[in-house]
Amino acid sequence: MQPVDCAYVRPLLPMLAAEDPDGEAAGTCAAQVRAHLRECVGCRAEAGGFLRAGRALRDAVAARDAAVPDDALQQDLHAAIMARVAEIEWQDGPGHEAVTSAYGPGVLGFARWRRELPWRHVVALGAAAMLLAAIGFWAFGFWLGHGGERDSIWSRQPLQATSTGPLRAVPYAGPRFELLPVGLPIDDQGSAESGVGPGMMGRGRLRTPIDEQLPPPR
Amino acid sequence: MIPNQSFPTPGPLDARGAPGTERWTALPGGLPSQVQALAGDGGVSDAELVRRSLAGQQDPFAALVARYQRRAFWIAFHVLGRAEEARDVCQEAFVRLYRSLDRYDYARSFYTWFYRIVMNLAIDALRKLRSARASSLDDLVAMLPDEREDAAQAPIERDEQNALVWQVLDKLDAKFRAVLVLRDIHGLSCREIAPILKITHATARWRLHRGRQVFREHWDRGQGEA
Ligand SMILES: [Zn+2]
Repeated sequence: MQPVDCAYVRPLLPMLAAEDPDGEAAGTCAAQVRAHLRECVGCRAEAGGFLRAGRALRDAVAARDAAVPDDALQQDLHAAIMARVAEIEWQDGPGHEAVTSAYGPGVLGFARWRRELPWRHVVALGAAAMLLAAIGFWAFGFWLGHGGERDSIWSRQPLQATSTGPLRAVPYAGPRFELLPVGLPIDDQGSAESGVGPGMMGRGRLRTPIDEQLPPPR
Repeated sequence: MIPNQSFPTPGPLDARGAPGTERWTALPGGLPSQVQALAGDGGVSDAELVRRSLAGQQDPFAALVARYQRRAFWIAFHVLGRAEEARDVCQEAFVRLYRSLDRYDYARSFYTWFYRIVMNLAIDALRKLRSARASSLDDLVAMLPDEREDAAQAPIERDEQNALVWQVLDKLDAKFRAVLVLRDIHGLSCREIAPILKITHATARWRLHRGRQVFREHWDRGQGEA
C-alpha cells in the first residue's frame, strides 16, 4: 500500500479540504490523511488555502445574491413563464414543438404527428414504405413489360392511330394508367391486350376520343 | 393568503439543507391559490404534475414552475453572474421543458432532467456572453493601465475580495464553473451532478478537483496582486 506522505496527500486536498456533504472523500482513507495533516505543516497550509478559497467563493456568492431583489423577480418571472407557456399552448399544446412555419397548418400538423411518434416507429414506417414502393414498382414493371424483349413495351411498333394525347387505359385490375402511343394491339371493342402478366392484369379498356379511329382488328 | 411555504417534497438538493439554500426552494409569491396549494402539496410528486400537465391542465405545470423556478434561476445566475441573462435562461428552460414534457422518462428523477435543460442553456449562454465580451472589451482592457499598481498595500476590503472571486469565476472554463456552482454553491454531490451534465461520475469528480485547483490558483494570484 502506498504510504500516506506529502506526495500522496497533496493531490487529494482539493477534494478533501472542502465540505464533503455525502462523504465522497471517505474512500480515500481520509482518517490517515487527516493524521498526516495534523503532523505536516506544509500540507496543512496547502489544505488551508483550499478551505479559504472555498469560503471566499461562498461569501462572494452570498454577497451578490443578497443584492438581487429575489422576491419581486421570482413573482415577475413566474408570470412571464406562464405567459410564454400560454402562447405555446395556443399554438400547439403541451409536449409539442411549436412549428412556426410559413407553410401553414398542414406542415405544422405533420410536424406534430411526427413528434408524437417515437423515432423507432418512424424508421419502421419509412422502411415499410420503401418496401411497399419497391414491390409496387416491381409489380408495375412486371405488369407493363413482362414477357421479354418481344413484348417489351419499348420494342413494340407504334400504334396505328392518331391521337392528340396519351390514351387513358382503365385496366380490370391495378391502377389506372396512361398509354403513350407505343403500339398495343387493340381490338374492335376498344380493349387493349398488352400481353403481359397472368390473369386480368394485362387487360385494359381504352377510353379515349380515338375510339372511332381504331385500326381494323387483326 | 398563505405565506410562502418551503418546497415540501425535497429532491436530494433540498434534503441537505446547506446553509442559506432554503431561499432557493421557497415558492414564489403571488401564486393563484390553487397553484400554490398544488405546488405546496407534498403528496403530489413532480412526475404526477408532469402527467397532469400532459393531460392538458395548466395549473399542474404552473405548480412545477413554482417548485423549480427559484433554483433554476439561481443556478443560472451563479453560472452566468448576471440576473438578466439568468432570467432569460430560466424562462427558456421552462419553455423547453413544456415542449418536451411528453419525452419525460417517469423512471428518472424530474429534477435531474430539468436541471440538465437549465445547465445546457446556462453554459451556452455563458459561452456566448464570453465570446461577445472577448470581442468587445478585451482589446480595450489590455490597453488600460493596471489600476492596482497604484493601490496601497492595505488588506483588500470585503467588496474587493468578493469582486475578485467573481473575476476568477469569470475566468474559469465553463465546464469547471458548472461543476463548482453545482457542488460548492448549490451543494449537489458528484453523483447528482454527473447525470445533469451528462458526464460520468469520475469525470464530475475530476472536474471538481481541477476546478477547485484552478479557482484557487487564480484566486491566490489575484490576492497576491492586490
Ligand atoms: Zn505533508
